[in-house]
Amino acid sequence: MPEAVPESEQTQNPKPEKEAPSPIPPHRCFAIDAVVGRAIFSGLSRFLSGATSSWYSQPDTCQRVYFANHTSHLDMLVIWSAMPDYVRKVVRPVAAKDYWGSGFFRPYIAKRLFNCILLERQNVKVHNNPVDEMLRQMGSQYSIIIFPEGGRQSSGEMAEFKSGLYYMCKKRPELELIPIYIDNMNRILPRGTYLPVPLLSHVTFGNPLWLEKNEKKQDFLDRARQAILDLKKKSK
Amino acid sequence: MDFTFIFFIGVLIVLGIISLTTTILKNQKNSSIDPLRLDKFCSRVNSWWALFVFVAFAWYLSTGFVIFLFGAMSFWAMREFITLIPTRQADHRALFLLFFICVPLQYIFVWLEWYDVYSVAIPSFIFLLIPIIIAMFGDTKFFLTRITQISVSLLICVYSLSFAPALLTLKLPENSSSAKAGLLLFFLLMTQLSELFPFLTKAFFTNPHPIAPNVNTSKTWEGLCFGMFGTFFVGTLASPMTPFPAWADGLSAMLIALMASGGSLTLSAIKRDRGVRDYGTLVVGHGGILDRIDSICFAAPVFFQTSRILLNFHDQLGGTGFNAWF
Repeated sequence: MPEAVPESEQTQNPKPEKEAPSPIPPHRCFAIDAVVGRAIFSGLSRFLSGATSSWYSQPDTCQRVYFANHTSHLDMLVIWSAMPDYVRKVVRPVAAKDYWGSGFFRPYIAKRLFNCILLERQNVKVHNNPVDEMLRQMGSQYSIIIFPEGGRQSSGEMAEFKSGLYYMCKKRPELELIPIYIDNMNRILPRGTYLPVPLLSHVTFGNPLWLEKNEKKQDFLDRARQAILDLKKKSK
Repeated sequence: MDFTFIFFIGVLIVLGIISLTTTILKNQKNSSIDPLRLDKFCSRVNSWWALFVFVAFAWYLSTGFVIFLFGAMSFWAMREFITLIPTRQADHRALFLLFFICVPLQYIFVWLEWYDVYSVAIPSFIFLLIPIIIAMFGDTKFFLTRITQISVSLLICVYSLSFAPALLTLKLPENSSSAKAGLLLFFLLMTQLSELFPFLTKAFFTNPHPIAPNVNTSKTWEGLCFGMFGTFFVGTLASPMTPFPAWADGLSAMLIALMASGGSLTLSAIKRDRGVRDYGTLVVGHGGILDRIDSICFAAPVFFQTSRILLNFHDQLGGTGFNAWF
């Protein structure tokens, strides 16, 4: 991603936090700034994307991995705004630490407003590999939103999935995977632009899928990718 | 009692009766009416209520608020239109300018009553600016198609529609909010009647002749004629709502009917071309506002201009009133 500015100090001295996340995260204390901030962001994304959504599965608070196609900066916000409030409380978006962890405002948005899981992208070693870190921060309570393509696509086509999704499911095979198809966002805020054009978009939540026993890595990733492509076909 | 007020109450009562009937029909089980058609009719009735509320606002609140509401409709219609047409990434900046600068400015100029600006800014400046901005990005694929599509969307959704609230800024001989609301009510009523009358012709003609069978089979020559005569008749009757003589009102009502039917036919053609049934079904879950206001968009400029010409005549006659013309 173009905005990824590597912070050399941070990446050279990774400090793995060993303690598990507290059951009530700080941003759920209903501090006025957090409530207002979330309302502003979800209102803004609804206005810009005309966001409507449809669910093929039921919204639920059980532990899930939401995975979606990625074309725009607004994708995460649009998915988040499309969820009912009781689901939002247990959902943690996954974001890049080098970008969202630096400065004053970005960590505020990422941590306090959206309770993001921030992951290292550079210097990934065994002790801080992203999959373990994600699973640790999910604990037994939280769901996450990820974009398995690994970055925003400039064309409307979907890229091949990265293998992280597979390794995660291998460690926690009971996790429900919910495919999400986001329509038209690549025209609203495409990669490389920062001015949004308020066209109409739509978020479709698909039926859950699981890692089968003895399923090969590539088969699983293809099946997951196909699930999103099927949603795309249905929404047309 | 003011005639416009009585008419306004009359429309309110009729709308109330229609809404009540549809609600009863909806709750009836095992009814013989197709529920899909009923739903479609209900959404139409709801849009009538919305237009009616606009007139009430124009009357009792401020002109500015009505202009703002039309501006919001314009914005939403435009996003439906642009979502429908294929654009490329090189158009992105031009589209941003249209949505966030051009649309608000057009309605601000209407609000400021700068006729010389809002009537010419889009045709003489923005239409030329769009190709310039798009050409600057160097993507020449389908260039002519892209600039045409964007210009047409601007023409229909923004420029034309802005003349509907501009009716409230005309200098009428009797400069009261009731006279202004009367003119807007007259216009909106005629556009909606021009859609309703053809609908009624289905009862009389078993085998009507469609104007363009492969565009829209429900738009027929019989419906058009019936609509034009019907609006002529109602327009003449409703003449006390406007400052113009009855014959002029009848003729402009006919002109409204002609343009309004043409407008829905044109937008049907655009929908056929893009392969969708309704602008509402374009993206799941969105009610298509463009389906509702297509007739208003096409009829607004011509009714505004005829009204303006008539008012100029009135001024040239020395303000003696239109009664002198009989």
